Amino acid sequence: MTALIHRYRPLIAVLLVALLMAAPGVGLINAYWSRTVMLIAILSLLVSGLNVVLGYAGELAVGQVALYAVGAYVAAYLGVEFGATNVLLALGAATAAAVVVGLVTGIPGLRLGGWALAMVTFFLVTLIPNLVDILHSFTGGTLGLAAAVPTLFGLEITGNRLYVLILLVTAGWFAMARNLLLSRHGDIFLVLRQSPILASVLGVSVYRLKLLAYVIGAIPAALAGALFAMIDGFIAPETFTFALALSVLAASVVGGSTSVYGAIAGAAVMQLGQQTFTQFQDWQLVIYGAFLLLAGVIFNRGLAGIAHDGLAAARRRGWLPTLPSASATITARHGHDPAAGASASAGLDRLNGAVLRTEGLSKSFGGNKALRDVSIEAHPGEVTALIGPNGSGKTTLLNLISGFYKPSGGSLVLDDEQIGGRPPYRIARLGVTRTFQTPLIPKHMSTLAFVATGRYVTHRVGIAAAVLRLPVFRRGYAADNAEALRLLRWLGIEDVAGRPVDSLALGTRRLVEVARALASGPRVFLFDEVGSGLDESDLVVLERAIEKIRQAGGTVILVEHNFPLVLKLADRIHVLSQGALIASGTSAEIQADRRVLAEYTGATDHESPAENPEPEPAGRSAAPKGAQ
Amino acid sequence: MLSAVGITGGYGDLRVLWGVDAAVRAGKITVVLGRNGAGKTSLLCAIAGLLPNVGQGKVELDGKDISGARAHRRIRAGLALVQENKRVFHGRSVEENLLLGGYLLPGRGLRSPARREALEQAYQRFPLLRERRRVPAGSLSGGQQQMLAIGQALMPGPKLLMLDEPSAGLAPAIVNEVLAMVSALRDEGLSILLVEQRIEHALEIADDVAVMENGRIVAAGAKSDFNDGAVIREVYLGRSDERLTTGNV
Amino acid sequence: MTTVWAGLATGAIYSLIAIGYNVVLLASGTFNFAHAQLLMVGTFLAYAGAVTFGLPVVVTVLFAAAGVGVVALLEERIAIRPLLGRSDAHGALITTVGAATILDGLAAAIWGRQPLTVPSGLPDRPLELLGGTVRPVDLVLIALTLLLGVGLHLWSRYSLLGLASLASAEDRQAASARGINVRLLGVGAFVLAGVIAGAFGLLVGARTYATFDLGHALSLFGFVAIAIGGSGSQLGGLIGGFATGLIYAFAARYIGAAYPQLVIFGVFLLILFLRPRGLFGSALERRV
Repeated sequence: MTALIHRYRPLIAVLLVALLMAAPGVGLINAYWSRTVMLIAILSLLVSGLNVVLGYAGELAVGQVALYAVGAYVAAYLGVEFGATNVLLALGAATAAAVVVGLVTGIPGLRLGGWALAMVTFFLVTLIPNLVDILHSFTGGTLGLAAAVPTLFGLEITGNRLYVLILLVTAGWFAMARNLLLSRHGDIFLVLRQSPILASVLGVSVYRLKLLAYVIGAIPAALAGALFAMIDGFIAPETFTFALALSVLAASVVGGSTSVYGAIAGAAVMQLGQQTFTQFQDWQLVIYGAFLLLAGVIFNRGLAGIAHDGLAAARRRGWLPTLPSASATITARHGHDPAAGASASAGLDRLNGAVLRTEGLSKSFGGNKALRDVSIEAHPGEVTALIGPNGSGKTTLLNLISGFYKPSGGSLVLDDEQIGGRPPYRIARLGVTRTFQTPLIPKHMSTLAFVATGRYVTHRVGIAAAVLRLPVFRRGYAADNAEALRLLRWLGIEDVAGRPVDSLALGTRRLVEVARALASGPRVFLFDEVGSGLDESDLVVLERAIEKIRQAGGTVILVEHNFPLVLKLADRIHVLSQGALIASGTSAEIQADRRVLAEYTGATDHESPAENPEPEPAGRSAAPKGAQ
Repeated sequence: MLSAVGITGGYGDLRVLWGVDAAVRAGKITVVLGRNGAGKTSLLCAIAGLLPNVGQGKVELDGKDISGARAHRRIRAGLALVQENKRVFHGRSVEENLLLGGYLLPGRGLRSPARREALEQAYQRFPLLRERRRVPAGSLSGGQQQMLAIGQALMPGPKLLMLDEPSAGLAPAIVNEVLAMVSALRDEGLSILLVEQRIEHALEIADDVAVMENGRIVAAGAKSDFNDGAVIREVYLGRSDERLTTGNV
Repeated sequence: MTTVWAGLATGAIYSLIAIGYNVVLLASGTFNFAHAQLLMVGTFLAYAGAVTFGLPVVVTVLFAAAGVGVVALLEERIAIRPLLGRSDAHGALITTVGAATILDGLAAAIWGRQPLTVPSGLPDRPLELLGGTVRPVDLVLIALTLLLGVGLHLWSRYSLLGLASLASAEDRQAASARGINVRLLGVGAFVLAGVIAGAFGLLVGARTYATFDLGHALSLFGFVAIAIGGSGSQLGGLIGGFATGLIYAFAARYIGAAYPQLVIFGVFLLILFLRPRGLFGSALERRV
């Protein structure tokens, strides 16, 4: 999934929808097929909502049917009880009810993740008959509820008008879903699905984002319910069964959960299969189950994935014109944008670094004291290095600073503000960014889009703006891309901008992570073993990048094994051993410290560097030469 | 005793080993040195059958081809691995951990005679573990956890012991103790493959040395070839800075 | 007291489901959504054994146990094995739901959609016990479930295989490095869960009838039992199941027949919200 905006595709889609809308009116399709089209449209709304939750946020929810029922009953009840038959009112009320039910079930269901949400939503589906019964004065109980004829501006919405309405609502939803998912929001959902840890480093509250996806996914289900009530003019609890929930799930995986239009394909397969084959009824559960198994085991990207691969293969063989590659598109667009072009040549913008201070910070896991009473200070415009043998507590310290661990004791202060014990996303939002020993890289995303996700929180464009493709969204999107490309160019890897980020080699991944960290314009950088696994040329680039970040005023904390790199870059070095600070000082001081090399390499005293005092190693002569 | 030839492999689509050869002579210690990220841990995992994606390569233990076998078969063949970060089962007691280490010993009962005997030996080797046998392993100190991990690995009476940075995160006194123990185990006849970052300590007990960089072996041979330490220092501390290495040696 | 007995008998079934979930969860880290369906198949096999083939009770139980064991083995092969080593986290979520649905569909196709009466072979006359009435079959069900839950708990703590299963649940790789065949352990757990479900098919069927959609409600209440008891704790699952059954019985008796599910749903949401790790679970901080 690339988050590119293809300019001409929407036009084709609009033409297709218009043709389909006109079809029954001009006699192209008969009543049977127009009903079929309406049912496919409704089912695809249900499936599309599930795709947002399952394919993008990575949570299994089977409650689309319950929300479908809520939409249907709310719309029907309004019409019957208050004579409020206006279609827009019905759709609006259904949406509002979906949001409420989504919140009530999503808030507890998402606390645990995994199976909890699936079970809560499954429970909701099985509760439908009970709830309908308990609320029989509103719902008509098991006998069902006859809905009033819907109206709009005095027109009765039946027959062909209803057909057009359903297609309009469906097309409208898919346009919105497409705009939402092919934006930074969709990208951030994919990041979340792949790695909640990475999402929180980007400043995103994992829980809230999942809740958001779940509530968004509830909306089309309720719309579908309201529309369904209009088709038959009658609703009864036996429509909203667990079998329907399973068919929605099967349609989702058949079409491809991580896609926008796969929902339509999946819904069509299910609906047509059901209508065409009489045996389908008898064997429907087995068929749904088989679809789920097959999709889960073999085609885990569904029909959308097959189509995607097919198109790619056709392009490779020259059967179809090739699309311009992402980087080429961006570069071309970029060329027309003088502002972005100008900033590309400049270095790094000024970074507003912050002072990070730990005071007596400690952390223990059970009986194992991973960190003991560590006090360090990192200042803007300086590189503060943490060195020490494996297991000495360096990464533990980084994890404490970025909030993945809660301190067992001591405090953590960012510019006079206590941040110890806050959740990772809050700390990230204060401008603390980091990279990982093993770079965290999402799948199905271009390098450019990945780097741009670094700006998701800091340069946020709202959901409404993305859905409506407002100018502010277009500007923001272009600016994100321009900045991401600028950073990639700055690191000398702009050629990989259009490549899937998970196809890159380790060294390039590290540099991409640096670009992603820089994209948010952070105040404090935590680099965890950023040099490991890099070859010489990548190391030079990295060294230069960290140097520039320092010069731009950023606060850099560097955990690194590569001693020469540390000596070159660091203004101040802290040496950790068995979780405690054993030495702090400038490069020269640390080099002169007997204990350090002994600790670091196990060197015995007679080989300690102190006996061979050598001038300052390569790097910054400006650093004070304390001990020497 | 152990010969591994042309090992490749990695995690997912990331390749980290590019045709690595490694060997351990019977009753000797081979030390693998190298920077972080050089692929040392991955090499041990590949030999133990624990690397997610194993490519080509041949592993022979005591003349028996174990390439392609899954981890538990390799352990049965006489391999033992002490993983980095003292990977013991934190929720289980010390004694349960040791008994699990003896999972492959004969007898179906948890306390079969063979397991009891091995347990007794482990307690004799590490008297401290006997004192704390009912305590959950997670509440031991780092050094005690390391002892437990080694004790666990020794339970089935392996032919070859692989240790991944056993000194990591331990106090100097304990480091010496751990490495002295490794040396003593060699003297008892065990063959040992040791990944260790404390070069000087490791070289003291090594018989053979291999140096890794970027997923490849860049130097290997008997310890005597490495006695001046120059090659190792260069690789370990980085060759990008000449002044440092010359300054130190 | 009659309500208590009814609650305990229903609760025993929920406990059985929770125990089955836990057996698989502990050994392989997979949540087998289809476990309730295995019990459903068990009730049908018990029906087939006792009614269709007219087998004696003991043979029927063995037949159902073996049959469901095979079904569980097949499920592991088809729905779980191919996913091992995949990075995508929610694969098993989809495939075990798929397996459950296939079992539902096959049961409906083979035995029809009407509930079938499974004869327990025990006397039907209710007993007076501790001031309430209870059917002998329910009493046996409660007793055997208790025995099973406590037995499995002790087994997982004090036997080699049980400890190996706990260890591999904690750290699969480290367990492999100790020579534990984690894959075989996982398969074994599936089969064991299947055999248990099959063996109880007769007793459960005698209480609930054999019906193709039995699995739906049971999987939910079994999961609620896990939510109450904390996942991975056999004793917790046992207690959680009985608690769920009692809540069900009392809500049905004192509020109304349409309400017990709703009440349990409320309890479920509350627990997820207040104690997401379950009443007996403990939060563990994992290293990043």
